[in-house]
Amino acid sequence: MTALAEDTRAVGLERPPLWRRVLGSDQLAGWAFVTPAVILIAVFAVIPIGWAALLSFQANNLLAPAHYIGFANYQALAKDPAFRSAVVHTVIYTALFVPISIGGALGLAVALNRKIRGIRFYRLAVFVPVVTSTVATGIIFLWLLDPTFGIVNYFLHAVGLPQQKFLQDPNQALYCIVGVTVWEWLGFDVIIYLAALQGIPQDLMEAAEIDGASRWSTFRSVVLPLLGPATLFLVVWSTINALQLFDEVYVMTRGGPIGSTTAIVFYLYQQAFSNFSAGYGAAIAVVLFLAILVVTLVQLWIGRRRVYYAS
Amino acid sequence: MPGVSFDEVTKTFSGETVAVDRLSLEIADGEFMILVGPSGCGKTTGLRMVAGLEKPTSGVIRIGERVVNEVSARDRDIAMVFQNYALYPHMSVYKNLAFSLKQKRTPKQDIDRRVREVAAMLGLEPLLKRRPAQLSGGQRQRVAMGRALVREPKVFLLDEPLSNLDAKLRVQMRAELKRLHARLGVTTIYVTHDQVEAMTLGDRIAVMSDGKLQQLGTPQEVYDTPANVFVAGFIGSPPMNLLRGSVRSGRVTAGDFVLQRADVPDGELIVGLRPEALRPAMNGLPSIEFRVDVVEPLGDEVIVHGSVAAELATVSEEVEDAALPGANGLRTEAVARLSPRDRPAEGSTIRLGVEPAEVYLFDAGTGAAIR
Repeated sequence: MTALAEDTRAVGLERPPLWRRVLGSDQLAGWAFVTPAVILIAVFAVIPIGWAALLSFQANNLLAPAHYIGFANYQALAKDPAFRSAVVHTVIYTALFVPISIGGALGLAVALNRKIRGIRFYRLAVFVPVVTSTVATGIIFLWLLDPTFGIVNYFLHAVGLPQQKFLQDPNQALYCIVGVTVWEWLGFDVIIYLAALQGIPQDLMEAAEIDGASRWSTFRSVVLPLLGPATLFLVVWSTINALQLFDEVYVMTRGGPIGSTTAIVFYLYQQAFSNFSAGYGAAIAVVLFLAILVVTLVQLWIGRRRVYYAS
Repeated sequence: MPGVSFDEVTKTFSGETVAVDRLSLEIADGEFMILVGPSGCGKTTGLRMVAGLEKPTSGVIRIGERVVNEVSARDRDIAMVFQNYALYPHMSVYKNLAFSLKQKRTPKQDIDRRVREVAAMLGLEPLLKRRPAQLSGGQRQRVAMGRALVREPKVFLLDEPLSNLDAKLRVQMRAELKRLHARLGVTTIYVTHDQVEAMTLGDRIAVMSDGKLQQLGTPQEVYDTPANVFVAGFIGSPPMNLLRGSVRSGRVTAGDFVLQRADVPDGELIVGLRPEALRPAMNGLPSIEFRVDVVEPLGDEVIVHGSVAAELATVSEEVEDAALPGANGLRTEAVARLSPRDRPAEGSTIRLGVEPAEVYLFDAGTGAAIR
């Protein structure tokens, strides 16, 4: 102990008591603020994820006592033709959904980014499907696409085109689901793009015009690069969304016809809650989680190289 | 290289706001023309109509012999420097400079040669790989200039290009602009609200207010013989002192200021005294009593702020001096520019005289100069 410290003590300037230091510290206040959120995240995210990871190493039917079987679930998964076809369906779905919804949204956003009469109505109309319940949308499309009574076939008939089976045709059902989900989610992407478009200064467009750029060239060389951050966000977000396809399949096709719309998450659901192979389902969840993680990291890595961010 | 002409050009926004009102203006081939005026006077709208970014409501705009009313901006072969530069933020300086040439499908090696020429001319060579965000304000300004120069345009349009620079850089760029224009001889239209820029840069200046052309002439003409009270108050720094006065049988009075002018008919008028025309009163010179408030020494001169015992002639918002109540009716704030030798004490009252030839008279009703 130094002489100075002894002096301090001598004149009665000791540190305040422990309880006061604890109560008055910034750390305590900080923890007090974040604890509710930490508890919520722990209970509803971290613990289930950890539990699912454990589950994936078990034979578990959610009723009988579970026992550990090591990597057996994963080994079975690697050889499971049904899982492989679920992966194929999911990849096809994602490869269609992501570019179509983002490209379509970009076109719509550009069209809606102008001052015309009733523009608020159009913007609202585009966004309504996003806030409509997936189940309601699914049921509406079941009716619209009904081969016998559906209005779509009625119109096809009216213009002399052949009748389609849509969701009941194994060759069409997945593409119908792509169409329905694109319709559902387009509005979200449009809003993101509209916000980004409105962030582009008008004088950049004017500068490009004066520089002799055509509309297309202005769009390609000025607008599109400046929409980069929005596009990267939408690609990452839409890909995650697409790889987790479930609701529409559950409501409209239950994975059929003949498994043609069984996506990974729907297959997981079947395994875990229809076949009561919870361990196997958990293994699927873990694989999907890792796949999404890798895909997202790759996208972000590419994005960092290619996307311009305003400082 | 062609000139630019406005023929009775009017621009109305949303049917009511008249931004430019029957503007007629001939800008000669190779001329450096300044459009100057307070904000909202229509100068920028005028420039944007030449650029093709706004369409005239009526009237004709020509670039050379060609009527361009219906020609889109991209086909006018003009270059423009925007007030905040409008550089493409995601492109390097090189790409910013090359963009317009690329649009014209110029061969790659020609683009490279032009870009490097212009970069050398403006001292941008070490910055070619940077993005605009990595440049200082002055450097961005140069890139914006370079982007315009690289295309060898027919007409060069500049919209307050120096207003975002600090004072020192502004003086530097002003000289550089003048050098560039002398070297390239491109017809240039330059919009500014800064009358110092207008005076120093322009071959001729067009003073605008309320969408109307107030006066067109060389800087010296506009300064020496302002066409009306608006131009008198706007051109010159500090601005001209404008006092309410009257004439009775050849005797002009404004407060205690008296001037003999036999040629002016009786009536109300406005007396204009340039701050630099005022000097300590000598015998025989018309003079005015000046109460000194603040003295600003600038080294080579002193700016003296004070008040005179006369009524303010309000002509526009630009000349918005406050009228102070005084002992003999109203007092008006006034400014004088004196030699440091004549520096008065703050709080003192002095008499300042002026040569009769340097007194400006304006019609109180129309504001037009009485010569």
